[in-house]
Amino acid sequence: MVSGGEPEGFRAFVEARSPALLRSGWLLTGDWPSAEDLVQTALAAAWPRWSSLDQSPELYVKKIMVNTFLRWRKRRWNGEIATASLPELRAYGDVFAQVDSRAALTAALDRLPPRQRAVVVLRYFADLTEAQTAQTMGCSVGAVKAHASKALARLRDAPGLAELMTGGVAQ
Amino acid sequence: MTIEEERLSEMLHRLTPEPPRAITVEDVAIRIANQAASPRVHGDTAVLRIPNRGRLRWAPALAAASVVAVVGASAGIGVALTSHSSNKPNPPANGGAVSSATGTASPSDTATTPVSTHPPEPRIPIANGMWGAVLIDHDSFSSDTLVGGAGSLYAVTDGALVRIDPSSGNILQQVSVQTTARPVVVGNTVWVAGPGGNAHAYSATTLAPVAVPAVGAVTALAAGPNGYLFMASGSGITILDPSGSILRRFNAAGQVSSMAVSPDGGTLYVGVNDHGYFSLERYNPATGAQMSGSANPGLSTGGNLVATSGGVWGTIGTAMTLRVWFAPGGDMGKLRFVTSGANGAMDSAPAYANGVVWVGGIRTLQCLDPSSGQVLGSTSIPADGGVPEHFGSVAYTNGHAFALYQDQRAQLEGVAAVTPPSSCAG
Repeated sequence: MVSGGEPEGFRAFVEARSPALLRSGWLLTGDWPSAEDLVQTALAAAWPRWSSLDQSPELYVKKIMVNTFLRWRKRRWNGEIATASLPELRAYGDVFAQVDSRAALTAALDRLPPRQRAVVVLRYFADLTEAQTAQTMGCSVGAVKAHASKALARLRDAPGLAELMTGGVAQ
Repeated sequence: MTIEEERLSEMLHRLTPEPPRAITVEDVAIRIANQAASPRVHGDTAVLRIPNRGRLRWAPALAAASVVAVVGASAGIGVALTSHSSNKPNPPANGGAVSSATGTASPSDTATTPVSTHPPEPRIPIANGMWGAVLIDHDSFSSDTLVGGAGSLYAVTDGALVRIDPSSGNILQQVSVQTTARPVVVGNTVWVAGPGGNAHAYSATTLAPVAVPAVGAVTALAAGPNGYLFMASGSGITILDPSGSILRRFNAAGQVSSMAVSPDGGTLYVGVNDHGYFSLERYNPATGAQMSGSANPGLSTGGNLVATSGGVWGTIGTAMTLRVWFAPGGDMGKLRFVTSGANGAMDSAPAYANGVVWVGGIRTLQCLDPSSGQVLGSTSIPADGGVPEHFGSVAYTNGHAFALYQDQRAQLEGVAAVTPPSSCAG
């Protein structure tokens, strides 16, 4: 389809869904440039197959996003260091108080292994069912449940997240 | 869902911010074109490497052209992506001095090689050229590495630093050095930071090696006023005086990825990438004391700092997500973006020359007010048959402006002389 032009419905999908896909990308990667990179990568990969998709286009794009994210993380995992505290953020707390909660959230997500993080984003942000999450990630429903359970356990111990989950702000 | 899961879901929906910009079909089309024409690795921090002539994979580039052309027709970007390849001559077959010079350099050869005996390269007007751009050199250079000074131009090609005659476009000398960073000209010395190694310094007129104090693996260089040079090695910062002697050493708060010195020499801006977050620190060069820090936790992978009288400029993101920002007064809380994503990667990195800031890429070449960040002049960068052309890394020497140019479809690239409007005079 690449040589045949823009597939029907692709523009409408991008216009309607790219904000939500970017937000999922932000939760996966923790920053906007990487999120944009991720979503653009997925859309570019989906373009040539768009007209022949036999499943929900959004699920397909999310599947590419997750697979791409997992591939990036596999390549870059050694550079990732989870921290228990956020000293570099607290130092600027007065100036950037409005982003402290989001920073605490991304720091908490950074503590999760890639697959657990992907399950959290797909299940609890993208609101996919366990079956849809399993289909998107290419694993069993049981594996999704296991990843979710382990992710919740890790997030319980994340600094500041308990307050956030009850509607407060990170301290 | 359990109550805990519902709370987690509610928190994710509540705290996840709205994206700063939406993705368009045109973004995706440009992405496809760039992926096909110049494959990149995610997370590669710096560099859109311009491949050497003769080693380009033109077939993917042409395939990409058809993709974007088709997209343009249906997506409304046909007007912006104007083909002009029919107006452009083919590249010279002999390659001139540049090609032969770079082709014979040995990566392990550290000697300076004079290559000034060749005739001038043909000057090729760039069709729909930006500000009357004329290609004066036809070599392949790494993006964002063209600088001017001491009456010459300097740029980095594959495995070498070269000195270019701005009037003829000829490469006068070259010296083997492995780097992809922008050279820094201080007085009569050209400095480059080799990846993972010590800094290297060369005479600006001969490219003969100059002795360099050992400070460890250099991660960033910056020129200060009056001949001072700032070198970063890890978190350590060393200031050299105009004689090349160490004046002062102090430590930054983290691993320094980029530096810039304000034109008055009163502030050293230091970019730190730590645990995925970019922060900007400010130091007093006279004392090494940290002045005040500001950070924006929403940014990551920052760098390419440029300091002006009005503040500090830099980039976030990598490859095609690279965006240019301006922080008035160095206050990251007032940061605003100068470019959007998918704008030519490192070709859009800011440069400060002739008193104004320059930002190129694949869409527009702009000059901006160094105090206010306002656009003073702008010209569109055309596309060749749907394939984006790259234009950026503006440099000045002898009062004339130059930039790096690449048109993969027409197999044209090199240094272009440009004539910016008077509004771009600093």
